[in-house]
Amino acid sequence: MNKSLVIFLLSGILLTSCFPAKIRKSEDYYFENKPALETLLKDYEALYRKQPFAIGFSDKRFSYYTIIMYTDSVRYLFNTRMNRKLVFDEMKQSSLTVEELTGIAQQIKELKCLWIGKNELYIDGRKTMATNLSFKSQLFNRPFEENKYYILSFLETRMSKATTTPKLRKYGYHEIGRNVYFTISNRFR
Amino acid sequence: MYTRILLLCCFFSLCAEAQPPAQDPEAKQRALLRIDQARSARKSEYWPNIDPALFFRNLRNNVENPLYLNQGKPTYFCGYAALTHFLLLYDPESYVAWMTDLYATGAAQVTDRTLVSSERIHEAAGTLYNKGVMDINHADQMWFMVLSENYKGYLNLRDKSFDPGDENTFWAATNFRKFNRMLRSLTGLEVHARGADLMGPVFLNYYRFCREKNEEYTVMLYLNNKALYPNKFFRFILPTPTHFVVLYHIDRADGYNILDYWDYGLRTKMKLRKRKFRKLIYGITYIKTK
Repeated sequence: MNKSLVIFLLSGILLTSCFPAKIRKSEDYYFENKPALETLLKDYEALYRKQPFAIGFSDKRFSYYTIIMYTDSVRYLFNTRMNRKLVFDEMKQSSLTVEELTGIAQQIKELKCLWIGKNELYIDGRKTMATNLSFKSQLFNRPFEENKYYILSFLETRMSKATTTPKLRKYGYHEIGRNVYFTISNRFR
Repeated sequence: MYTRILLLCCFFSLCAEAQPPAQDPEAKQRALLRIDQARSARKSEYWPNIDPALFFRNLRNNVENPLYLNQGKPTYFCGYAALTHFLLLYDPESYVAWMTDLYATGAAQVTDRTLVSSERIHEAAGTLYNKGVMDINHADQMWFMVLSENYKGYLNLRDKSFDPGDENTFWAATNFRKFNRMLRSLTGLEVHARGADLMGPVFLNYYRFCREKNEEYTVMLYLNNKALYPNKFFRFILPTPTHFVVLYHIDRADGYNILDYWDYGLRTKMKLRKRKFRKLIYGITYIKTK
C-alpha cells in the first residue's frame, strides 16, 4: 500500500517537473518578433484609417475571430462562428474588404496574437491613442494557466520621454523602445 | 384606402431603424442652464483634486450626449453608469441638481436619503488614472464614488471604506438588488425586476418579455459580460452576472436575437443565438417611462 503511494507521488512529481517553468513574456518577445509585429502594426493602421475596428480571436485554437467595428456612435460586433449572412449591413457597407480583414486575421494568427485594437490613454490630461496587441502572458503552454495577458502598447503621439515613461510606469507599463511599452494585465481587450 | 395607408405606415415603421430614446428637449435645456448658473472657476473646498473646468465640461457633455457616458476600464462602476445613463435620458435636471449640490456642499438630497461623501472620497475624486476617458471626467469620478459609498449590498460587506484602487474591486461592485434599490432611490419611480444574482428567471421567454416590456418601459439587463464578449482562452469562466446595460431595442431574425443597447459610452449592436441569450441574462429591470 505504502509502496504504491510512493510510486504515485513520485510519478506526480516527475510529471509536474516535465512542465516548463512559468516564464512570462517580456521585452525579449518584442525584439524576437519585431519585423512581424511592425508589419502587422503598419497594415492595421492602414485599415484603421479606412474604418476604425478591432479584431481578435475568441477561442484557443485560433479558429474563430470577433470583429468590432466602430462608427461615431455605434459599435457593431460580429463573430465568425456565426453565418456570414448575419453580418450587420453597416459592417458590409464599410470600406474594409473581406480580403483585407482575412489578411489581418492571418497575421495575428501567425503571431498567436489574441487581440488587436486601439485604446485611449491620458497622460497629464493629454489624450494619446495606443495600439494594443494582446498575447498570452506565458511563454509556454501549460495545463493550468493563470489568467494573465501580455500586452504590447504602441503609442501614437510622440511625447517627451521624461513625461511619458514615469507616468506609464505608474500605470504598470514597461518601456521597451521609442513609444513601445509592455504590460501584464488581467484583460486582453 | 385608409387601411392600405395604415399598412404601408406599419411596414415603413418596421423597416426604419429603431432609434435610441431621446431626451425631453426642454428638460435638457433647463439642465444645461442650471450648469451654466452653477459654473465656477473656483475649486470646491470639498473636492481638492477636482478641476472645476474638467468637472463642468464633463457635466455638460453628459447632459448633451448621454450616449458617451463611460465608466472607464477596468472599474466596477458599470451599475452606476447604467443608471446614470438612464437618469441623463429621463431626468437630467435632477442629475445636474445633485451634482452641483455635491460639488458645492459635499452632500445632495435625493428622494429617500441624503447622499454624503467621506474625506477619503473627497481626496480620491479627480485622481483616478489609467481608466481611459474617465481620467479627465472628474464629475463622473465624483458621482460614481459617492454612489458606491452611499449604497451598499452584500458584495460590499468585506470592504466598506474606500482605499486607493478600490474602484477596481468589490468595494464598488453592484448586485441586482442594490441596483434596483439605487434606481428607486434616485428616480422615485416604480422599479420592476425579474431575476436574481445567481440565476435568471426560470419560466420566462426572455426575448418576448424584453420585447414586450421595451414598448412601454425602459429595460436594463444584468448579464454575464464574459458571455457577451466570449473567449475560451482559459478554462474556468464563472457563470455569474458581471455587468449592467441599458437595452434600446431587441429584435429577432434568422433565429438570432439582435440586441441594441447602451454600453461603455457607445450604442452597441450584436446578434446572439437564442440559447446564448438565455445563458447571458440574470436580471431584467424595467421602469415605466414611455
